Amino acid sequence: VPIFKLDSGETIAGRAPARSTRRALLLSAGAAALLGTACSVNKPLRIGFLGSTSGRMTDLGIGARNGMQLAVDELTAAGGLAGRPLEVLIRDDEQNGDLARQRLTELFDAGVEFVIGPVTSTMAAAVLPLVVQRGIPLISPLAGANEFSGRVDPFFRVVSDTASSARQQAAALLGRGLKRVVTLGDAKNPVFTRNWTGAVAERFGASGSSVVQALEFEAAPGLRFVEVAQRVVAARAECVVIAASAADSAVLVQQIRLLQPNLMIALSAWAGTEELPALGGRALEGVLVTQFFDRFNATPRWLDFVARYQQRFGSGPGYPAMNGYDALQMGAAAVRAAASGGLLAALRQIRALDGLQRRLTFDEFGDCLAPTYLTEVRDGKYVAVTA
Amino acid sequence: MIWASRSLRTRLRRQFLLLGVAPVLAVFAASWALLVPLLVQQAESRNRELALAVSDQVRLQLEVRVRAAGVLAEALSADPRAVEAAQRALPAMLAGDRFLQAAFVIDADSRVVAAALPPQSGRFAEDATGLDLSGRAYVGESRRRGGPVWSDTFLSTVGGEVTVALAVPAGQRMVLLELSLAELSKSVTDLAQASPVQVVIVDRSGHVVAHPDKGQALQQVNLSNLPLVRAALAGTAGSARAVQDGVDQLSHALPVAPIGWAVIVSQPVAAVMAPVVRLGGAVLGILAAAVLLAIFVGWRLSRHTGNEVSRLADGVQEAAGEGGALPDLRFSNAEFTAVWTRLRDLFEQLRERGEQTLTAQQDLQAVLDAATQVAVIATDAEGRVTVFNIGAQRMLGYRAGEAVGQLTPLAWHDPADLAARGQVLSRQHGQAVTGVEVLFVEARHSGYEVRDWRVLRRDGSALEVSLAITAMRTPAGDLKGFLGVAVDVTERRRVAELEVARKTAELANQAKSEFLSQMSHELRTPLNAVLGYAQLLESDPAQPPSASQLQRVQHIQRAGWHLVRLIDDVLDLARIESGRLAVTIEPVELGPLLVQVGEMTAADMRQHGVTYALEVEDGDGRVQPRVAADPTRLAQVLVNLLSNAAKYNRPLGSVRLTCRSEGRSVRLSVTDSGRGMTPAQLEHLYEPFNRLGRDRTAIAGTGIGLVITRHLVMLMHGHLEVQSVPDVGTTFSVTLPRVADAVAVADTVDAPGPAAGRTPLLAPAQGRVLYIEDNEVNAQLMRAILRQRPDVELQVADQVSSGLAAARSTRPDLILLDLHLPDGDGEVVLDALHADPQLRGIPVVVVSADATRAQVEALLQRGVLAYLTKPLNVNEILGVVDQALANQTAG
Repeated sequence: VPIFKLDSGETIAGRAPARSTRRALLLSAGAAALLGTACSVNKPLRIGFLGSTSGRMTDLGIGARNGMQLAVDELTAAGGLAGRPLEVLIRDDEQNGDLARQRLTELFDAGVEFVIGPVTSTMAAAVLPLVVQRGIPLISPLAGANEFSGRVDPFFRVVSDTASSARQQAAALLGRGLKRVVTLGDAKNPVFTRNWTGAVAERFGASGSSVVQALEFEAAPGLRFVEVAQRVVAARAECVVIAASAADSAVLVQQIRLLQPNLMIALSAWAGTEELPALGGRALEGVLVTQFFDRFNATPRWLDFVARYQQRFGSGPGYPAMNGYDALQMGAAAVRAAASGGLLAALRQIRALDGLQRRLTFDEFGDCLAPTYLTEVRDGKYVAVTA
Repeated sequence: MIWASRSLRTRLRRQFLLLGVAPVLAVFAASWALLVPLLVQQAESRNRELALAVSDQVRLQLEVRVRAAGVLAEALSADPRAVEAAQRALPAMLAGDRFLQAAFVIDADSRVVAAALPPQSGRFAEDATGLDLSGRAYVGESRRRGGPVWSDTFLSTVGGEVTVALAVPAGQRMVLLELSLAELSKSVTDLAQASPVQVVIVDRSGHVVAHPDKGQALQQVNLSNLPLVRAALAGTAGSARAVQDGVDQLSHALPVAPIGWAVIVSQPVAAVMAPVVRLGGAVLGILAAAVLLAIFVGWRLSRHTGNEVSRLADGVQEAAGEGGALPDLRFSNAEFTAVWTRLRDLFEQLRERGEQTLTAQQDLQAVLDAATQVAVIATDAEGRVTVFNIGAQRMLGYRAGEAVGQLTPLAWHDPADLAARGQVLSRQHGQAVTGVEVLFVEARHSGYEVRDWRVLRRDGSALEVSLAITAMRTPAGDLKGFLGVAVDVTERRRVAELEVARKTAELANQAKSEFLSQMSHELRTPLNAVLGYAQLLESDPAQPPSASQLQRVQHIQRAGWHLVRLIDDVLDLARIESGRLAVTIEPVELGPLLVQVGEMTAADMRQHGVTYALEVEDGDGRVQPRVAADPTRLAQVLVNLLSNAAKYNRPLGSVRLTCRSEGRSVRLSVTDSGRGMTPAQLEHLYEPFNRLGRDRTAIAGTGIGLVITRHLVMLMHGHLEVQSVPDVGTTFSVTLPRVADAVAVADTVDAPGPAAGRTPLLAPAQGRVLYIEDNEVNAQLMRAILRQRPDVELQVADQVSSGLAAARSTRPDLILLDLHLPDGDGEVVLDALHADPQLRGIPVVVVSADATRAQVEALLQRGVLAYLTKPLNVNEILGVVDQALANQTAG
């Protein structure tokens, strides 16, 4: 199992002269040889990360991981958390429920204080019983499915309820006078996609409009995107709402546009990543994309985060990164507050958190109430649109 | 174990540890200092070489792809309608290159017009066809530059995986190849196979392109956080330590020109330092072994040495404790042996000196102890006892241990005595003298003082001592202490007092004896007249008394003779009490003596109406036993016992005298059939003048007879026993030593003696008799007695001088001599007669009231014919005169 252990800045400068390298080696090796294993005064505080860092959901997992890592870097630079250095253990759930439970068990057994993840609602649903059983807090950056709302459990999240975001998107489409909609969801992440498409259909139904068809596909080897696009076009709807990953959404949008260039396409917040415009090319022009974050935020804190992220990872941060960052900050706030009590209780007592972009509020169940943002792709870029 | 050896042991152990550990540590440190830089240098060199090789390899691989794509691009450029041909060529290209995961052609509008995907990818070329890649930066860059461009890693919508893509312009079109990062990773893993070296390739933004863990490439792990990587991406190669995958690595990062990637070759520091660690392990092992060995050797050696030291110390201690010589110990080490030898010499010297000192001390102690009657006590200057000899212990009752170092002489000096002396001294010295100073002040000032003190023994009894106190000073004259020598003068004083008392008593006794003697003499003189004339009255042939007169005369005689015996007894008792009663022990034939005492007591038997029987159990009369005794005193003893047996008998009772030999002694028993005595009476039997309640009876007695009897028996080495049963009788037994029988009884029975019954055998005496006597009454009595010898002419002289004159003038045939004469002692007359040749042969018969046995014997020794004591027995004096005159006539 690949483990990427975040170093905490203990590395030695790459341009350091060979002499100092040798001296450092001499000293540290000598110390190690004579004293045995170095004993640290403060035992590191372990944090787990569970997310899809490979495969089709890799943009979510890597983004969330990177955002979390920046937060860890910040805390480390500030002297650690609650006086203890941080150690992050990362596990890839590979979008497989069994693997997710197995990897999470590993993290729990390694003694983590809390876990950031998972990055999809489906994985969240898969591990929830284990989390309840073990009682170790899980803070998800991205799993917003309805199923997790209104429960007193060790599951927390910094992403708002999926359904409300989907309803907002549906309202925007209805506002444009579109009545006939076809929904397309990735059955590989059913918890999220059905939440999303279901909420859209519900909203359309509620307004007297009709859902022509609710289509699903499974993002797996052997999938023929062209065929999926053909089914969408065949539905003869005025618009299509796709709940899939950015990469899959990009291919689907392109294939759909090849068949029916003017079909109105809306993508779920899942697809609203930084890579989406590059992946989709010109076919994405005019596509409505719900965003979990405000791409046009110009607050110094956000801009500073963007700059640091860019410097650290070579690209701009998306919502997974933002939420990864905020999720870790939530956990850190709880650790600080938990000095006199349990971490779980501390998490439940958090009612508000200043996120990178906005103030997050939480209900008594630890469910986040955060706004979502509607954008449209124009000239290869997201632009804000109003409902 | 003594402390010295423990300390030595510790020291040895420490030295061994230092010697064992320090060199090993030094060797290790030196090896470390030399080895580590070398290893680091080697590892860096290895990393660099491998990085260069990988870099070349990567460049080569990329170049190969660029050329392949270039060939296709040229073909496409030459023939704008060669898309179909390209569509056919792309799968072949893909099939021939495992590093490619997708190959496709885009048109001028950046849409995919031809694509090939590997069958195993699960994706289809149809899905890729038509995709718009205009958003891809590298596509645009390639168009702008008109040459091949490598992308950074990205998630490909065509291949569906994270990849790096190559874009090669082909006229308006463009050939694109996507590399399989999984295969790339596999290839770099192969490069470093079977070694701990890890090869990683990153793109221009630091994302992993190839990694032994291909997941890191597919997950777009970014290593730009490593300064080393950032430097390499900026074009600078370098080596550094960096933590990768949680492992401390020694890395070398090398830029891959011209595409701007970087190759990072890393080795775990642990692997680099493995030789040092192994060396360290070996050193630690050696160190541990050395330390253990050192500890063991140290322990052994220290124990051995410690044991040697202990033996040495124990030997010395033992020898010191016993005061003897050191034993002949053997040590394994020459130094100890030398030390031991030297110690032995020293001990020997010490022992000799000790012996000398001890001898001197013993001599001194012997001197002190020899003076058991003299207390020798020394003190320090403050008075605390330092020497307390045996004499002192005996005298005062304190043990030396209690006194030495503990007490001062105040403990035994009488406080009152000290206080009185203290007052005197205080007056003399004009200041208060108290405490021990009372004893020492005079000696302190004048060096010496002798005086008597009263001291108290430990038991509280007091004694007087004469104490000489001397101040002891050092040669420098400093006062060291005091020496007291005391003699107990209590005994001396008591002896002196006793001596005075004894002399006083002696004088008193002598006075008593003289008084008794005088009294005896004085009483005998009138008794002589009384008894003499009574005898004459009884036997006066001229005027024979009537029957009643005879009876009265006999009463007078009995009373008179009783008085004489009483006087004799009192004299004997007095002699006994003064220790002057002497006996003359000689073999005595018992036969005649027993007959004699029977005759002597026959009158008493008759008077008291008892029958007397003599029983000699030993033999038939031929051989009688002999005893060692004084015959006179034995007769006195037996007469006394027989007399008592008669006196204290019952009427018609019996008295029996038995003689029986019992081994080496002879028992003479007098048994009566009298009243007997109770045990209470027997207890007081031998008390003088105690008559056991019979003093109020009519029986005459003095109560001193038995006292004298028992004493006489004891003087003759015999003993007197009594057995008595009240109302049955009493038996007194005298046991005397037996003498070997040698003489037949018959030889002695007929021995001639002056027995009264023989007088008639001699012819009536005739001759001149001179009687020197100053007492006229005695002279008259003698004249009256000798009137019964008409042929005897009596001449009386009342002085020594007149007596001697008469003797010289008349030369008498016999001189009767009184010893107490007005002008001298009778012995003077004897001396004079002996001195005068003419008078020397005249027999002398002493007639004296002095019945002292010694006197009698002394004069008999001087040759007097007989010694007659007053009162005179008329028959006896007549018999002696007759005998003497007959001898004179015959001679």
